[in-house]
Amino acid sequence: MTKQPFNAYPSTHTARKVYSIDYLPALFLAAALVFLPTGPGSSTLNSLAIVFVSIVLEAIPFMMIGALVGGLIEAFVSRERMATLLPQKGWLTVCIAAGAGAVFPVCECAVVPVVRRLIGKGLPFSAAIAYLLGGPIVNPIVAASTALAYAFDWRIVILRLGFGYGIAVVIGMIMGRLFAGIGAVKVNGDALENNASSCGCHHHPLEHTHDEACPGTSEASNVITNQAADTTACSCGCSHATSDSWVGKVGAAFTHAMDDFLAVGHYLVIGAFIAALAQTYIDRSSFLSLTSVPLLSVVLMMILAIMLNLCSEADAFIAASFRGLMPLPAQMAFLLTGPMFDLKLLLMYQSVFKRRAIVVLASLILAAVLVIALGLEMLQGTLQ
Amino acid sequence: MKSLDQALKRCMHPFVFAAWTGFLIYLLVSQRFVAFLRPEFGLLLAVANLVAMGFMLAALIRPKTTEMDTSAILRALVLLIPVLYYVVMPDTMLGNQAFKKRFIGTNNGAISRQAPTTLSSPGAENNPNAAAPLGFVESMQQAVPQERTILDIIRSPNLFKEKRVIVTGMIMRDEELKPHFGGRDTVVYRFMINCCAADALPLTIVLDTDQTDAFAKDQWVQVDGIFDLKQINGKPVPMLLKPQIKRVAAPPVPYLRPF
Repeated sequence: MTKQPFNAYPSTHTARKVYSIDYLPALFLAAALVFLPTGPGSSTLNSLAIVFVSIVLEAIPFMMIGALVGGLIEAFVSRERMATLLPQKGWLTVCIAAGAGAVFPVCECAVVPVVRRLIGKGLPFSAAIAYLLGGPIVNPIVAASTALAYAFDWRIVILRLGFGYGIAVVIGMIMGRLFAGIGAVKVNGDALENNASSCGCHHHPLEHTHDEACPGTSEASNVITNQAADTTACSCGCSHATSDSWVGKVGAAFTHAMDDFLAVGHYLVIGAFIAALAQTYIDRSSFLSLTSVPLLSVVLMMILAIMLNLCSEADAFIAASFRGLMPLPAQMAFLLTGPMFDLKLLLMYQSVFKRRAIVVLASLILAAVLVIALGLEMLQGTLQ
Repeated sequence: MKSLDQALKRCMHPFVFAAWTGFLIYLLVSQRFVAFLRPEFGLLLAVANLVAMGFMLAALIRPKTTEMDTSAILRALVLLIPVLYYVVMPDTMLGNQAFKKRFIGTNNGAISRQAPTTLSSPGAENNPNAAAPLGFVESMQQAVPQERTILDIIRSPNLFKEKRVIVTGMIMRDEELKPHFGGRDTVVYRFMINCCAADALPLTIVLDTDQTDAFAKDQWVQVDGIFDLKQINGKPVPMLLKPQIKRVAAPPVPYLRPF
């Protein structure tokens, strides 16, 4: 093994890092300054600010905890250990992952950093997608909030969790098949764009290097060793020697978690801002005038779910407020779409998946929800 | 200049987490977070504060690098924007602007335990105590009515029908409300939240009066009147008849919670 000197990091990478500016944060910063509240008189901007800060304050604890869970997985669970925990049959892994939220309840903000780390630890892509989609719906907190919102109408709870689970399993398997052998997860170059190392961690690439090929990446890469711990396992899939020190591992967990938070957090803030804009400027009652066409009501409620960016643990109350105004299939479309795909998630997915995978994933989610809602529409006479 | 640039790059991440730590501590100590979240979320914010402290320490301890690029700085600045918004935001809460955008009629399907399209279940008039807890019913039988929340009344409208009630909320008068309320344009309302202000739903009771010119929009008021359900456009509309209105201070927790 030949150790590269620190200053031998390719200059093209350095140039790329220095000169490639991420325009989304730049645009957001400019927009955020334009909409900054100016005083008590501007009720619209004050509303925007309250909703924006509310969404961030509500989501950020979950995201930090999710990042920390991901960091702990990174520091304490080796790739080999992960392999022993997973069933041998791929479809069984997907089925278990889609329902794992029942045991490890997570909302959609927390699940992204966790999935990011689990993929790095060797969780199959299809199972990761199943957990990503199923976790925020198939969990006891969401079941309880849905039951409460719908006055303990268990039919709604069963439909929501059942369809959520079904969509997670089916899309997980489809995505696994579509992207078999094709990179769907951001590693190497893409990750470097996010100030991350080649392993997907956001350490500085020059902290430590070695020229050993990482399994699964087929090329020599810069593997990061964490100086908080002596060395640690990275999400590149390499199992480096890890510190036996418990304190060292906790330190490493926090470092990994911080990196994950920095990689995903700005997407959350930008998504929250867009959602706040939508909540401030879009009139909810205007949606109601377009509900006479069944398909249109479903599509409108899906759009509303995407725009509002509500937490999966609270969105049932908003859906329930449309009872009597929107048909049940449209409400179900709202309940299924939001936890799997909204503006905030669209941005957060970019920290994990390549653009092509996000487009396919989003298309599948929307198509699946639409099919289910139309199916419910056809069965509505039976259901009511 | 170069050393300043390097210092900025080195301190950016610790500064972001230090800012968030300070922000969260302020919100928790001052209890100001209840303007955004349900009070129960204080525990989660406290946990987030501890994690943010851990991240700050991790950022401080990590070996210093000078390779943080412009994009990384921009991303770090994005994380500071919510803090900036809070700092410049006046001491305010959701009001008539949010009401107008979120109001979808008086059919509060999310909170009524009765039939969503009628608010009153068939036969409920004959058994008004059916959905109410025992203590609730006993207090209803007292001569002087206790103050009730708009949520209590909308949840069990038949229990309060034709009875004197006292409610607190914000007052709003708007011409656009007239089609919903049979020509009446004044409501007392309060937002109900489940998690945060983003999911706030306005709960309204119409005031059968036109003597509200003295009150500014979003003025917190206490209203004492006779509750009734009026059928307007085929829907039951909660209404207070002969309302006596007086100004009151905003409550410490502005939002109502369904559980």
